[in-house]
Amino acid sequence: MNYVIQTEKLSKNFVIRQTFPGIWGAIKGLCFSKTEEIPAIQGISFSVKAGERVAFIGPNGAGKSTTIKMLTGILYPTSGWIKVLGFVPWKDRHALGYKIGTVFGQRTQLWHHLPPSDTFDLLAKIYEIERPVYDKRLKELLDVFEIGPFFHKPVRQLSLGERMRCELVASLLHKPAILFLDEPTIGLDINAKLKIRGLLNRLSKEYGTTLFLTSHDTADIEQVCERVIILDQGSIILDSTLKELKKTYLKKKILTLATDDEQFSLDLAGVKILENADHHFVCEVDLEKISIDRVIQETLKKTSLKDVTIEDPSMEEIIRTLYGTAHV
Amino acid sequence: MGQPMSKKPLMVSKYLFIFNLAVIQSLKNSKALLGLSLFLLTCLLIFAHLWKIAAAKMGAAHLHPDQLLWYIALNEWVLISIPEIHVGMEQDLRSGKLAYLLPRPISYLKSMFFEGLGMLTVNLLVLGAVAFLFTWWRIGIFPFEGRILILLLALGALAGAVGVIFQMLVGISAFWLQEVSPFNWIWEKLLFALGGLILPLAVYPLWIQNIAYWTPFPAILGERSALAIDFSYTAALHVALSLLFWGLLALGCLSLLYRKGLKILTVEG
Repeated sequence: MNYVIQTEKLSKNFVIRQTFPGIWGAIKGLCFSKTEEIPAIQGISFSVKAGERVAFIGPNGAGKSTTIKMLTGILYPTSGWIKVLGFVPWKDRHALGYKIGTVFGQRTQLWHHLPPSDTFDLLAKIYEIERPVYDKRLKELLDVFEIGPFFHKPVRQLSLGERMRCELVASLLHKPAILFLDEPTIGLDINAKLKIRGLLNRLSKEYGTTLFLTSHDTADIEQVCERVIILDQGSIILDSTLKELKKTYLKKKILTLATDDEQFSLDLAGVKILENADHHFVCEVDLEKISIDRVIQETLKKTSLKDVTIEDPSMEEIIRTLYGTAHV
Repeated sequence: MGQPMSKKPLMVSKYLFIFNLAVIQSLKNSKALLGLSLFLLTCLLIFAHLWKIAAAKMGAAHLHPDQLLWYIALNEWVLISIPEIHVGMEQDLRSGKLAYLLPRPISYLKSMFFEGLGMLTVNLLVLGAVAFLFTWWRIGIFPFEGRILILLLALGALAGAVGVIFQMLVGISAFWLQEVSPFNWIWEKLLFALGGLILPLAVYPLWIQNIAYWTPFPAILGERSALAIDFSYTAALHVALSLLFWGLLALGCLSLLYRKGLKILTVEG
């Protein structure tokens, strides 16, 4: 199997200096210090195949960014080992740097007062890309990411969406085998988010780039990734394909009915009424207790139907449930 | 595509490109250049008047106000030209941006140094022209031979480069300090006082002069600018060697502190 990322029993502890409360505490702190070791990552193991699109998600403080920092060589692990494209990241950080790309939604690598074209030229130098190769690659990326109209505009004048597209181009110039994305759509409007997601999919299909993405926006995960790794309190609580996740955790459906009667009563085990007014009836059906057919049959006994809609609960709800279960 | 083949010429070309971009960025930031030029002119105007009055009343330590204006112009030219690169470095360290720049196959410290040099170059050229033309217009005589002028300009550039390294030392202290501005404040005040910003060190009490000459400040400002009053090749060589010594020492400290800071960052996060 062609794995591009492999981790084995990876752990990271942070030593935190504790402060004492109040004025006396502050004075005491000048002479004495107390430290505490906090485990941020607790023995996680996973592998990623070439070309995979992996969502690495979890609540705040779960350890996502810490893991990404270890995978990119920014942080040393406390124990365990990592191989990324055959390199040990913290030992071969610069050599690995030529093979990976990083996009951090809240950080920029573009020069603020200069147009993106200047930063791209600089990155071509940094990654030692030969001029003809760079010209060809840049042309391709400009077409794919449609940044021609603002290619020569100073970065400070770009919208957040335009800037993010430039950040992606900047990270892809050296044709990285893996692209690490930390909250790539944070702060973007809905159109810009859709555009970025579409571009990431295109990138993965056309260049076979492995995507390793963290995001709090479940739509990023649903629309871009095929596999989900969920991290909570430094441990992996789920590692599954998106399809499998939905199959396993979609035990409920949302049923919306447009009825003839303005209101009607339905008292069935496994049916939770969410809305019931103005010819509009919405309920959550627990499929382990009752089938959708049965609910509709029972409804038809009481009223006639004009329209029926069946929906899955949102991905966000599934993930929220998973986070909740992990804490119990 | 990009390969880990870091040959020396390629590495150098990366930093030269950063220098180049910093020059372009500084040139495009014309409002900042205009602001600095006006500030420099204001300083020179005030000191020109101040020294005329002082010379008339006290004889100003046997120094002619015209000579002193060249002295102050050479001081202010370098002082105002040194970019406040510690601000960007503090932001990079405090915001965690530095961590995200680490995977790139380039040294953060060297790239900041070349960025600082790029900004310094533009400032030196623009402010140099302003200071030179103003002082010449004000005094009406050009006191230097061409050769000496070139030497004074080269020493000014070297002093500016040393100033950039010290600015980086202030910036790098953000690894340990919650706020670097007090540290910068101390650096600036020492530079003004022990560097002889508005008054040549020769007129200071002897004990202050003795202390000052054990620091890098006179070479960056006063001792270098005093060459405009009393030029000798020996004194110029002394200034150049002092600047090289302090520059190399500061570079060594900077590199050591950066390595220590980086260890904190990569191990403790």
